[in-house]
Amino acid sequence: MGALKGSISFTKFKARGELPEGFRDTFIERLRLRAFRPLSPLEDAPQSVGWCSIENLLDLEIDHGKVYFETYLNIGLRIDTWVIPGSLFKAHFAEAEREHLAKKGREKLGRQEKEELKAVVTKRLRAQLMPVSKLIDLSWNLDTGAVRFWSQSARLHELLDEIFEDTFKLTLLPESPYTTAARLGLSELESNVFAELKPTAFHVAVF
Amino acid sequence: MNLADLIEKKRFVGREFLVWLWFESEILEGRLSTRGGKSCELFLESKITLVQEKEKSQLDGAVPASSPEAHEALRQGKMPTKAKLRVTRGEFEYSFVYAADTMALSTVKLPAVVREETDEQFYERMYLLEELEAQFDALYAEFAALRISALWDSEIVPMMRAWVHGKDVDLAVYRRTRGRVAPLGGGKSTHEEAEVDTDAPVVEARQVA
Repeated sequence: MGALKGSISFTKFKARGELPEGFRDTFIERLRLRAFRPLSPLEDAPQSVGWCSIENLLDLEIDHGKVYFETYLNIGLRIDTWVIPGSLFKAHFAEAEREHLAKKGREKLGRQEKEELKAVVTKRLRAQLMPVSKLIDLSWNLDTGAVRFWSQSARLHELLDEIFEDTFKLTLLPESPYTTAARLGLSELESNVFAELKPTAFHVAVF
Repeated sequence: MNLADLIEKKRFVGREFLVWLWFESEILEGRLSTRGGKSCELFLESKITLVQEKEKSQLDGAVPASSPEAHEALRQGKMPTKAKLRVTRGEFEYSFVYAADTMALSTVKLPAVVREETDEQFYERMYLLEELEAQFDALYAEFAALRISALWDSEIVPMMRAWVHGKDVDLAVYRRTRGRVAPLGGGKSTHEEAEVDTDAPVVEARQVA
């Protein structure tokens, strides 16, 4: 499912702000700086978010040919997350706890010890697992400023907001009844009227 | 009111737009017209969700929006939040689910894409998608202009209430009233988008509430 093929389900935004001079090169440099970096089980980070080729989430070599489709900038947002099934973690933690207490000759772990042991078990399990990867397509019409993001999740929109602004130094304005009206052309007076609108009661039987 | 408030607090307007599309589709037998040469056939089909606070009605079937249950839900004060729409423009036929609060389109079925090469297929998909969005923008430009006009409460809402309650609507009067309000942006191509927060010229003959 995405911009290039498959089912079309997206949320639309408008990129706000001027494109800088020579933006095609600048954007490639900035995309490379925020390219996806794989998670390491040795690090604490539970998630990694970054850009990759829209055609292949394993392709982290970003260049003009993979990104620019005439007036469109197409890029993939890759999100990897460590997901350890709860029951698996519980079982491994219980085992580690037993071993630790036996070694120390004690009956109960202290709070600090428990946290440390949790971190050790988490790292050990992460080393045996693959993170869960997600690729979300983004297609930006550089002429109109329309940005289509192939996800309707509010949580992912927050991630997008952050990385988009960090990468392109532009903000995203979500499509909504007000922003669409403003995009189509509201005068200041009309904008004020829109701001004062109250819901219409269509069900009231008054003809 | 700041921009974030305008976005969040005016989401109900998207639901009213969906009621208006439903109303026009039924009284005009699916043939919706817009200024700027963009007219289409639009029908609500197979799925519609209506809500009122925590109460929700999800109706499925061939044409659930035409069912007595859907109209009864409207009469109870429920508002549609999501509906599957079919839009035909010339030889292009689309179907998609429209989410009223966010104005997002999902499970969009485009007219058949013939190209096989990835790049060509992408341009064709985008072209067809942007045509659909332009059509939808043109309809929203008509609706939003009516919604902020003085005629909304005095003329349009009474006709829509009559429709909700199964009464006849005088089509000639409705068409005449709708024609008195110029669409947002004057019905220009929606590819030429106005910037948010700029003062677009006041459209001729639009009388705001």
